[in-house]
Order: sequence, then C-alpha cells, then structure tokens
Amino acid sequence: MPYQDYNWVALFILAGIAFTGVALLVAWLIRPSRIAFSKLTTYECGEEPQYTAWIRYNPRFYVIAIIFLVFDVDVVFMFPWASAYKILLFGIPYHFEAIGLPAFGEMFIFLVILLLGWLFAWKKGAFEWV
Amino acid sequence: MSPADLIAIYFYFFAALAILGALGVVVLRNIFHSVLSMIVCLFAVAGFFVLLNAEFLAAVQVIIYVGAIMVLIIFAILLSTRIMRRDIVQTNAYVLPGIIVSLAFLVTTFFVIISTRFVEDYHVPFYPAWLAEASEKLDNTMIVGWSLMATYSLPFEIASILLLMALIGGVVLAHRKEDD
Repeated sequence: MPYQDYNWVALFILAGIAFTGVALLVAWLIRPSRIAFSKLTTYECGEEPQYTAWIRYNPRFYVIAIIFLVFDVDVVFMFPWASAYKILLFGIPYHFEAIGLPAFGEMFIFLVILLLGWLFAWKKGAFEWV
Repeated sequence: MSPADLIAIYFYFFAALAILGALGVVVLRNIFHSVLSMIVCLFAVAGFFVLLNAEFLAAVQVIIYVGAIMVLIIFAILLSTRIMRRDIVQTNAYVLPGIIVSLAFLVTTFFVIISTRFVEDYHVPFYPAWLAEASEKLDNTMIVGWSLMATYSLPFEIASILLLMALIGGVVLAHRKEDD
C-alpha cells in the first residue's frame, strides 16, 4: 500500500474520534440532568445488579482464551497468504513464480493440523458450560 | 504540507501516544487500567511500523500484541488478582535502583543512536534491485505471503504443529486445575 493511502486510515481514525466526541457533546448539551441512584446502576435487562463486577473470574474462561490465542496466531499466517493469493496463483514474471493449487493445499494442511487441536479441545469438554 | 512534514506529524503523534500509554502503565493505580494503557502504547508502536513501511509488522503488532498478548495479560489479572479489594498500593521503595536502571538505559540508547549508521548514511540499497522494483508494486505483506508458500513452506507447516502443541498443552493444563 503506498504511504499516501494511510492518510485515509488517519482520516478514518480522526472521523471515529470526532464522531464519538460530537455525539457525547450533543448528548451532554441537550439532556436533562436529574441524577438518581437507579439510573447510575449497570443496565441489566430487568435484573437487579448485585455486588461489583471486579471479581476473580472462573478459570474455565482461560481455556477459551488459550484457544483464542492459537487461532489468533493462525490468522497471522493466513493474512499474508490471503493477501498474496493473486500472485500465488498467477505469479509475476521474473520475480515471483506462480505456485497455483499447492498454495491452497499448504494452507489446507495448516488448518487441518490446527483443527485436530480444536477437536481435541472439544472432546476434552473445553466448550461445555454446564 | 509536504509528505515529509505529514510523516513527521504522524511520528510525533504516535511518539506522544506511546509515551503517554507507557506512563499510564506505571502511574495508574488500578492494575486493569494499566493494562488498558499498555494497549494504547502497543497500538502506537504499530503506527511506527507503518511509518517504517513495515506494514506486515504493523498488522502482526496489532494482531499478536494488541490482540493476543494483551488478552493473555488481562486474563492473568482477571483470574489471579483480587482487583475488587483495593487498588494496588504504589510504593516508592525502589526509587534509587529505578533511577539508576533507567539512566543506564537512557545513556545506552543514546550512545547506540549516535554511533549507528542509518540507512541514509550508506548510499547503497539494503536489498537487491529486483526486490526494490517488485516492492514498488507489491505490499511487503504479499511478498511475505509468497515466501511463506514458496520458499518456507516446511517451516510454515511446522509452525502449525507448534500451535497445535500449544493448544493441546494449554487445554490439558487448564483442565487439570478445574478437576481439583
């Protein structure tokens, strides 16, 4: 990506910040300010919130985090593969030879190996909640 | 405004963001807020990578550091610290060692910077001409992807086995604790 294109990325970031700021500012300007205790509690779909949210969490969430980590790293490998898929299929003369279908196969093997781990976690009951 | 000015503006923006984030990690009293501040710092580093034309590194920085590593640290805090009790008490017991270590780091960094010959000083390209020509047309992410498939396909598959080992190891270890 030529570096000029990053100005658009910067514009998106600025627009995001401005949008949030303007929305909060307008809400602050037009809203009435009548503070009540029940308004300041966490919105919980009709349930009365109890105690604080700052507690130790159940360790079973940790397994989910580990599985997320592995597939997050997997995305790091998939992302250059996907963005190079065109030159993998067709190649660029003198610079990059075309690889063709094996490029698909290599990623398939990669994902199948990871799928084994996912099946292991499933069999082990990592996704069961009750 | 010339492109160089714009790049300088971006650089100072990301530098300020990184320093503020790093300060927040140290100064904030709630350890969870420190982690959120660290995310800001690591994200600013991704901005540096973009400025250095290392787009793939920037993406990896966001995916691995901002995504994976910070999730791991947040989970470590959620699962271990009693964050509800009180904020972590900050003590200044290590002021003198802290000053010595950071001064030593500052001096070392300073001497490394002034003694390094940067790319501009060499007047010779670091990589072959065909690669320079190709990278005019291609992202370096594409070149990384092509080399993963063509040149380094075996390490690529081995990486998936490494990930499989990490997944199985993590699930086995985390589950043993739950059975107790």
